[in-house]
Amino acid sequence: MSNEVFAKAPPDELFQLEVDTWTQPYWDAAKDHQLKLPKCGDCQQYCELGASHCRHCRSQNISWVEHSGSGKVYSFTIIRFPVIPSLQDSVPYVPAVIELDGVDGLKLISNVVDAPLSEIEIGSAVSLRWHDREDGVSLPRFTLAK
Amino acid sequence: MKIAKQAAVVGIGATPYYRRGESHPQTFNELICKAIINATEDAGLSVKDIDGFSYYSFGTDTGLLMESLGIPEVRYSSMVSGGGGGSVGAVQNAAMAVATGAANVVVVPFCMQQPTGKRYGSIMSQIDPTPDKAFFMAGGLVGPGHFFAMLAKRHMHQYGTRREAFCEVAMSTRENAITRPGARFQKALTKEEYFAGPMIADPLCRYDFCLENDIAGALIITSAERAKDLKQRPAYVLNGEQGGRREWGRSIAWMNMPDEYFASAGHASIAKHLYADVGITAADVDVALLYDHFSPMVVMQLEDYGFCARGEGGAFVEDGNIRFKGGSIPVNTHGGNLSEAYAVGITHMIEGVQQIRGTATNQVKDAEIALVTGGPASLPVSGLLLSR
Ligand SMILES: [Zn+2]
Repeated sequence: MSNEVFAKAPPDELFQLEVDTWTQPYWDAAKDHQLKLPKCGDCQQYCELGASHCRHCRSQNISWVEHSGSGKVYSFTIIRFPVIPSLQDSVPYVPAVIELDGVDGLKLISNVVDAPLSEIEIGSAVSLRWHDREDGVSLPRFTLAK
Repeated sequence: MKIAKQAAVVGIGATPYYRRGESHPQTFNELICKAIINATEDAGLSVKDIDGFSYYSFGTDTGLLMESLGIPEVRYSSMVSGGGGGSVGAVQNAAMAVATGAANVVVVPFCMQQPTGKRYGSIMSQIDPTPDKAFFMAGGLVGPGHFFAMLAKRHMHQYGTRREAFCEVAMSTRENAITRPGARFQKALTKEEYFAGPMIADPLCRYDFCLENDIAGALIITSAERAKDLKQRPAYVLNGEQGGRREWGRSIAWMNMPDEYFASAGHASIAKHLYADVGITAADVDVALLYDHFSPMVVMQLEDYGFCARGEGGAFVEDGNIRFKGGSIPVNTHGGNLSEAYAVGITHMIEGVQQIRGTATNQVKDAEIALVTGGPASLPVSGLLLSR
């Protein structure tokens, strides 16, 4: 038997999803469990998530390219203290910045879940794990890669 | 900015420093009015001399202040966008306004007052959801500390920075608060207490977080010409800078900063312009009032402002360099946001002026140049040099 503490996840009620023209494709793809990233159809470089224009060439010809979700932990924190009461049953959880593989350093803010706290490190390889909420929103989360 | 010493801070004022939520039943505008009245009295001016307002971090209603204070005419009213990052940018704006003749006497007022039951520390759970915020809100980032913890963690990874450095920031700042009248914490903090403190958001423990207070403060800025005839020794605005680099951008709300920016305070470009415009270097700064919402961000600002090399902030701090007594660059001599009080930058500005006047509680001997910074935060961030 191990006394290992595992990373939980923040509660669903914490945020309500709002979308606009430039983030809709991301969240629509998430419903189908596809992680899609914005890439410029003109200059072929990755764009900022949610931006209306390609920052490299100002094009609005943004296409959405599927990504495997493999990446590395760029940084993280372990939330141990419930700063608001609704977090009471969710600590400890691990917000993390995930640097996705092969996309010019593009990073996602997400969570590392279902992993022993002691094994989560900067540089740890992670893989995608979808979380489906009751309201129909799906969130990309990550767990330590096998 | 090329208006060195054409404007000066000539008055400072504040309300008492209340625990969060304890300034009621006084109202927000009432507190601001009290701070403004105090600052004009300090300057030897009448409230009716004020003809400009310069705000930051959401500001307040100029018309409403004119009603309460009987200010006859305003010729300048502006606000730096964003939050605490732009705090000292409001002094820069005020200086520009008086140097160009847009206005004669500009006040920079600020008030922080918490409604009972709502805390700034969990502010992200109270903001309206928007499409851009969804990308971080989904990660369960509720308070500013949750975000800055990830910058601190990365700094530790990238440069070998130790928690001992954050501890030294907390302890040295506490020591400065002990003698400071009105400071919220006046009992020495030991290393043992620090390391026994509960971990809130790894690597940040309780003592790495700033206070939350109800405070109003105000600064009065006028031309160097007029400053000569007023009550106090002028604290000249040597330079001010606001903005920052795209690589820092929305910073914690974005987290896509490249390596050299991620584990920083986002102030490197601010420092470059602040110094270069007036031909000085970090070595010419006598005292640094660095926005210390979280102790690791002091370490990173020391690097951005060139007091030590990138990545060496931890060792620099651990060597005692930021101590009021014996340090090479005394930092937050008033006790900072960590131990004196937190009101989004106004307390650092007040201390900067006192250091230049020579009237600070922990007075740096013969201080000629003071650096005051806005918060490491989403752009704009800002820096200010005050001088004799
Ligand atoms: Zn493009």
